[in-house]
Amino acid sequence: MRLSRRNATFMAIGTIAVATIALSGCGQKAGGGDAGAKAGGSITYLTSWPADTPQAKIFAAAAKDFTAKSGIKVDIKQLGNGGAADVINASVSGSGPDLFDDAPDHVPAFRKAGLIEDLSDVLSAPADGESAKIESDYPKSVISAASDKDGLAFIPHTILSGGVWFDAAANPGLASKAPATWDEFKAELDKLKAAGKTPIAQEGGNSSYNVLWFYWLMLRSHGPGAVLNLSKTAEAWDDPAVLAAAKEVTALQPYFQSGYEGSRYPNAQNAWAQGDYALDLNGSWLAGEVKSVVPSSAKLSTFPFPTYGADSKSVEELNVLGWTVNAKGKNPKGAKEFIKFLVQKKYIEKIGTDALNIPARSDVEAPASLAAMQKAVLASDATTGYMDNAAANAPTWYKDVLLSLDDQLVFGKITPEQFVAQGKEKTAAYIKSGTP
Amino acid sequence: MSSAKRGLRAFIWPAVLVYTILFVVPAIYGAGVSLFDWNGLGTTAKFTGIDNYVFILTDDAFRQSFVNTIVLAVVGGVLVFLVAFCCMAVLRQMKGRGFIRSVVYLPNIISPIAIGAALSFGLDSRGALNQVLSWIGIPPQSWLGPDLVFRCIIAGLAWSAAGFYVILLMSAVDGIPEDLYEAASLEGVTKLQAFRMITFPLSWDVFATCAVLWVIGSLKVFEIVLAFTGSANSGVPLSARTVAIQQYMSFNDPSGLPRLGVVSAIGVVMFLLSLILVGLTRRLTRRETLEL
Amino acid sequence: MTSASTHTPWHRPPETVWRKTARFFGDILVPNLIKICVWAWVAFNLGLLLWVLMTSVKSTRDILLGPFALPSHIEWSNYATAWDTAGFGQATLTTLVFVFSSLVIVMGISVPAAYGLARRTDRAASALTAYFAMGLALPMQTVLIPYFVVNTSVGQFMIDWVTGAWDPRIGLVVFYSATATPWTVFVLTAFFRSLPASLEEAAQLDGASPWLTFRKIMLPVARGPVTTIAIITGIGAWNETLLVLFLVPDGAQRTLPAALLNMYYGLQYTSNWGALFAGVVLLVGPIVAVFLWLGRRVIEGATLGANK
Repeated sequence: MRLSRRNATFMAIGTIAVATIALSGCGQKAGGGDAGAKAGGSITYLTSWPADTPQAKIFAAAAKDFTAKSGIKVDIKQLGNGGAADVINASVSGSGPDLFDDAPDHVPAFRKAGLIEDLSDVLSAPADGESAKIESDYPKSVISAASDKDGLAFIPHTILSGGVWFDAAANPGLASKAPATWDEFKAELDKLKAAGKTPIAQEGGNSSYNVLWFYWLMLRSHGPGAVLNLSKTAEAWDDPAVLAAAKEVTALQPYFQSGYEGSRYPNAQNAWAQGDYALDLNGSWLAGEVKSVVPSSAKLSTFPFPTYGADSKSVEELNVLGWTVNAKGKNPKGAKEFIKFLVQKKYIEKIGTDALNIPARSDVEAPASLAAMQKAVLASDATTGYMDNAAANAPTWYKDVLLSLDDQLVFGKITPEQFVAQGKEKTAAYIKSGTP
Repeated sequence: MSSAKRGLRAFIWPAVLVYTILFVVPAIYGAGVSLFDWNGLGTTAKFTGIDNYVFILTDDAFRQSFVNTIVLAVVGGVLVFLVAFCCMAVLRQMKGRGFIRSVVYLPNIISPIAIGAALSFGLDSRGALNQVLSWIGIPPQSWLGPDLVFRCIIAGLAWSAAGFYVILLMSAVDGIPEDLYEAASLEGVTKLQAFRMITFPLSWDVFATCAVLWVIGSLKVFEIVLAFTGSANSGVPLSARTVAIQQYMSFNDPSGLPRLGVVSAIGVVMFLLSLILVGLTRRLTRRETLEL
Repeated sequence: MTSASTHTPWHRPPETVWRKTARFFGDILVPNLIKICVWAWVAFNLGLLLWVLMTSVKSTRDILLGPFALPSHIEWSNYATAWDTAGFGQATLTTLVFVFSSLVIVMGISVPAAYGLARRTDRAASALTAYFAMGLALPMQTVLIPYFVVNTSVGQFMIDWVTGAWDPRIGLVVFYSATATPWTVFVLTAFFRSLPASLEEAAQLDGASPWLTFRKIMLPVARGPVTTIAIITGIGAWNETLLVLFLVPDGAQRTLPAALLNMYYGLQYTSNWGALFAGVVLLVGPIVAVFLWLGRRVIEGATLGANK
């Protein structure tokens, strides 16, 4: 009897042992554990780009070249859909990456968790095979967009901005003369509607796209900080510009495609890319995302968000994406070498040609559809960060107050007056609760 | 106690140990964590007493998620058992009932993620359902819009869960002797009346168990909502959040720092809610066992 | 039922119009309506399965043309994309190891425990049975944070001090097994109780130890229900998502449902619906296959649970 009970226990232990060996064999293959103190060895790159996106392919190709040149192995892992929280959790549990993708709205969380390695030595070094310091490869505004008050948080590779997208081939009138003021824009919408087309593709299932109308109207009204201020005091909501912007948003509803509230992301932008709708207010990344469904006859192009009101501010949104070195990683030195390799002109160029986004380096051209946007963003002296930095500095307010109220406004569930009143109320509650 | 019975102790203790140390003790630990404000390993935990519970009960998002969960449990339960009772009334005599049972049970063992992904693809404003509706002249609806999405989730959940309860209740019906029905039909009782007077009372006990199982399960609904509505950019809309979803969103808090105390508090509340609802259900369905 | 002794014999009531309508309603209209609905339900389920299969071999262009359009050609690359780039191949391996390991642990401790609890009649045994029953009402959500904390602490400890490498999935297997134990113990205890004691009495009279009795007599008898309970537990492990999301932060190490969810969330970059449906087929296919092969047993196992 005693023997048999031991057998059962042994069997359980044996299985766990076998499972451990099998799983640890699978899980830690590229030497994530043996990087140790050596500068060579290997690094782990945790990427948020799914493997079949152009960006992932560019970086994977660069990783291969890097390994061939330096001997340092690069283990590219996919980030789960938990976003920044997954990176933080992984780093805390000791299996954090050496390099990961970053953007300004995640930087505060990473700073708080102590994950951001100082990058000044990377800035003052040249890119692999080039002579100029990396810092001089980038416009100053881009470097500061990638920094917070504690310094540079990540080395940028892409600039993101926003505008109104359309197909120049199907709408030559817009290509030659885009509406410059809000009134011209509304007239254009009426013209499109009269011609039987659906003027605007609205991605109802994506709150951060629904908010773009209100966002840009506020930026035009008050310049940088207009939206962020709404999270700082409840009284900011009393400003008549807020109510005016909300009314404009409500007035846009007839121009959205029918059934937009029930449109699952990314169906609306795909339908727009195929020509079912005329305009799409979106980010500079749109052409890259719809690449696989755009017909070859289309010529996607953008025009900037129109001016609004007599005293319209010319603000540009300058957001950046880049790579952060994990201060709690095993091989930060190797990660830095990899970054120096990644920022070579030949790879950053591909951000423009393959991924159809605006590359961050000053000496690299954006694709034709984004050339004007690139110029405007880099030339402007009034820029703001992603979502007016509200997503970074007031994330809970951004998600729970702004996005949720704006969705109701866009879907017509609340009136502009209710939007303002509830915004004021909820912001006051948010400030009182003291959550970040 | 005979030595044989004493020997059985050895059979039992591994399971009891595993269950206690790895399930019950963590639950108690979780209740402990719920009294703190903690952002994870590497940060300090601050004792805050019942603040987390007060937060849960007063925060709008959480209140909405509680309401949603209760609505899901009640409406979903009514739908599921309506379907199950209808099946009980007719399935006994239907040809091919083994095949039917298998096919209606199948969605129950399929991952809710797959179900959510497939169904929500069809429910998009330009998707399959609106197309079918347009063939019969009904105007397209925004099924995934904030008004209707939760109802679609309840419908999808009921559709996938009903099969399980159908087979459970049918196995009870199979235990009812055939001559009862024969005698009834000789006396001119219709099939519906037979269901009401024979089938239903005699399977009440199984129904009571099913009700408890449904209540416990409906409180934990999570994956199907994620797959129906979530996207990396927006999270789950308020009208569709269940308690389990709200807990997950507190873990993946927008600020990037998980609020472990709140997450644990929700877990404790879910357990208490589960006990209360199970008790309520058992009380409501209690009745003396009907002997044949 | 009314007592027959004082009751006059029951005669068929006269055929009034009311009775005729009631009979039409209750015997023909409603039952047939329900039957039609049941067959419609069956047709819908089968149709959905076929539709998912069909969509999984359509190219993105075909899918955007219309949900019911037949594929212009078979796009096998959808499966390649799901398997390689979306990591379903790796996830399948992870899921298989996870399911197998959990099954071994859960059945290994539950079957003997259920037998022990069924055969002991003292108060301790019934208290323990109730103790396990309580575990049925204990949701996973209550223990998620403790599991998360312990898993990450153990991981860090093992990496720093012991092996230099650790896999969070080990914790996943252990903790999942713990949460699956109450149900299997509960159901199997009921089953073992239903077996007559005479089966073992003969062996015990011969002086056989409980373990021998268990192995030689009870296990063969219980093989059917134990197998079905194992299948149900295995299916549950296959579909487990919540625990994976909390305990395994690395996307590449997750199980199939989490991999599908991940692909779903990244859909905006490539709009590869075809690959998504291929992923659905990869996730759901093995379960459907098991069901086609062992369907009767699966259903038996499910009903065992409720007929306490």
